Amino acid sequence: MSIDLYTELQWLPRSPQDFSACVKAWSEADGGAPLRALASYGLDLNQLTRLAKPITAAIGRGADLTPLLPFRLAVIGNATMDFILPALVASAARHGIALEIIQPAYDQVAQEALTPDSRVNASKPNAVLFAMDYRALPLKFVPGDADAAANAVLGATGYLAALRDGIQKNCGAACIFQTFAPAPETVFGSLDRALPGTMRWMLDEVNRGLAEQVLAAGDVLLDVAGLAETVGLATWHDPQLWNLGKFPCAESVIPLYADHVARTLAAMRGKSRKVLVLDLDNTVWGGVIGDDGLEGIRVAQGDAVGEAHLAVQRMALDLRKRGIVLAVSSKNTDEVAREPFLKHPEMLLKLDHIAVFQANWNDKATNLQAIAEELSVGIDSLVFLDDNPVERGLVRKLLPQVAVPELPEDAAGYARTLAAAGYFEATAFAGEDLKRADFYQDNAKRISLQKQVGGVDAYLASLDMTITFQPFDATGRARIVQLINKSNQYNLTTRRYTDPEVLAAEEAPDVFTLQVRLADIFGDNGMISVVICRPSEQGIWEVDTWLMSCRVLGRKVEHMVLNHLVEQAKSRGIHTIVGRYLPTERNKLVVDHYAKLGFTKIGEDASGKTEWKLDVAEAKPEMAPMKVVVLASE
Amino acid sequence: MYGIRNTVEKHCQRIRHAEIQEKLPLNQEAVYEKLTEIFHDLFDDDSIVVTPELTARDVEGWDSLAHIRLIITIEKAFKVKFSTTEIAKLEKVGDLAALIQSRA
Repeated sequence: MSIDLYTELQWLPRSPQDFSACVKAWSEADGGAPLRALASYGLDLNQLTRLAKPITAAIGRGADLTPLLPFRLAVIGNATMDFILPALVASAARHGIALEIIQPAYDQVAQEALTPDSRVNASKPNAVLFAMDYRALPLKFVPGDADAAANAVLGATGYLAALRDGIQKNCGAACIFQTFAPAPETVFGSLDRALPGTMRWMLDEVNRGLAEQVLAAGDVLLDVAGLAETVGLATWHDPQLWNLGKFPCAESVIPLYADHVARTLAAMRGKSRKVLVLDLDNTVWGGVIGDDGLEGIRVAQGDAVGEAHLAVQRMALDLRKRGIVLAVSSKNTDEVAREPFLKHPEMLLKLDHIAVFQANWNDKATNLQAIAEELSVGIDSLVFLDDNPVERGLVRKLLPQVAVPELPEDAAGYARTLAAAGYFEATAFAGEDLKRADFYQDNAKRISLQKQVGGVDAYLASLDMTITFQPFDATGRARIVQLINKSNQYNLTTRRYTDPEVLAAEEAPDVFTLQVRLADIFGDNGMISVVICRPSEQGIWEVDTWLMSCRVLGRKVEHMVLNHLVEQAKSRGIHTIVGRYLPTERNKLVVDHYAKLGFTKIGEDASGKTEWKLDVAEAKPEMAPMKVVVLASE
Repeated sequence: MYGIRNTVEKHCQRIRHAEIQEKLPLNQEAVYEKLTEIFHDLFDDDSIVVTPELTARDVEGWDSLAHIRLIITIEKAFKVKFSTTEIAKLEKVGDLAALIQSRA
């Protein structure tokens, strides 16, 4: 992980190539929603500046930018704010705010706050942001002079309090104060932190005093010092830019700073998120519970992967402690998904912590809507954490109001990325926040889902999938054996075969074998399905093995596989395909597999075992939007 | 152990490869092509013709602040860094292009 997570806002999806054209294409009649969508990419300063133009123009014309909420913010600073202000406007749109900015003349801090008819006071803003850096404070280097240092600190915090009182008296706006990021340069070295009268010592004291003052007065704090520490003081302060144009921070950190201002404004308007919805497999724990089992999932201390997932759990628990509601949305059989919560000794999250637990095979957009309904919160209150880029893409497409962070490849970065996105920004903390999660808990009950939301097909088409069919071969064999021996959930017969047995099937001329690969815009999923058919009688194939990786569930891969099976059967003079479902504890998912594919049930016994048949000539397999590639064996 | 050494070696190879790539001389045409793209985007005007003689007076919106944004954008696009003195000396696009070529 690097500071790029922060400076590039990596929790947001990357902007499209035609971003500028999209901004140009926006017109007032489109309203505020497309602006918010455009703002929701990880934009750099130039892109933010570009997006701010039409927003500022529209606000200037008095245009209606619903659903964006209007907000008038006066920004008082001691440095050049010209790069920052457009970035604030565009970032505010990301957080649902149509931001109008009041900008007084350069470096007129005291005049603007204290004069009743100043530009700021006369414009009656909703809030005033004191965007000053340490150079605005009356602090002088007095090494070792404790009295002078203490006086300087009192002078500085007193000055800030006076500014606040001025604004309160003259226009009554809410005040947002920034903590002060010290310069990276020290005079003594480490001693600067300890010795009264150094800049570092005095700024530590001012920041602490300011924080207390803000809390006591009910103002709002923006912890710029903390932000600068996060990316590094040397990154934050750019001496060349300060010298060239009195820019208070480096250009590279402006998008980050602007997002923090914007999320603070959104929090003041009550638009922070309230619910964290967690995926389970490879998010809350490492591995897939349905395939790997209780002993196979990774969630233990001492295992690097397990600890990464425990960090996600720890963060979720901390959030819950401050009142954020937790929910689960997982593609799993309900009891399988609950098993780790009930039985795994290292799990930090327990079922008691989860207000709504949705484990089923519906698409996640449907589940998220159900969760919002169950909790009686808006869909825009949800944050959805999922390792799978396809699930994230689907939710973003169908429910753009849900916040869905992009996640890095390595689970070690999940918790940090979630925190960096700042979805749960709060400007105050009250006693009732502590109880909120419990409140939802008490009311929560499990909901069953029948209806599906539309639009999934359109989303599947946008995935640009390519499915590749090929008979077993030497290259694929290791993975074929692995899938045959590991897959539990999407597995019709759960027959396990060794390497020599798979080789035998590969070489037998009358056995039909199939390995299936799937690629999409997010990358290559590799081999995701395996089928073996053996001839039973003349003209009849019996499906010996049919399995699929749950990662590609809901993509209609099974329909495409059937289509290929039917084509192959026809070309080999097969008139009937017979399939069997052999129930296990783990494969309830596929109990209706053959029914959904248009097979007719021809037998059933007490153990739940079913037998199905399909007349090849009459089969009409459903087609899904994907490109088909058929390869011969090597 | 072998795994780690392999990874490190691959990484070093990648770095060496990147260095070689970056040291390839940029031809003038490529510089002007990229500059044109930057100017069009930054000043939101596709009609700007970027020539060596172009100066701030010729482009609407090219004030001292836009100049700094332009420099920063160019620095990022060409992966170069200019000194304060160099920035101060730039008078026309020809100076900029020459500076980029001398550095890249």
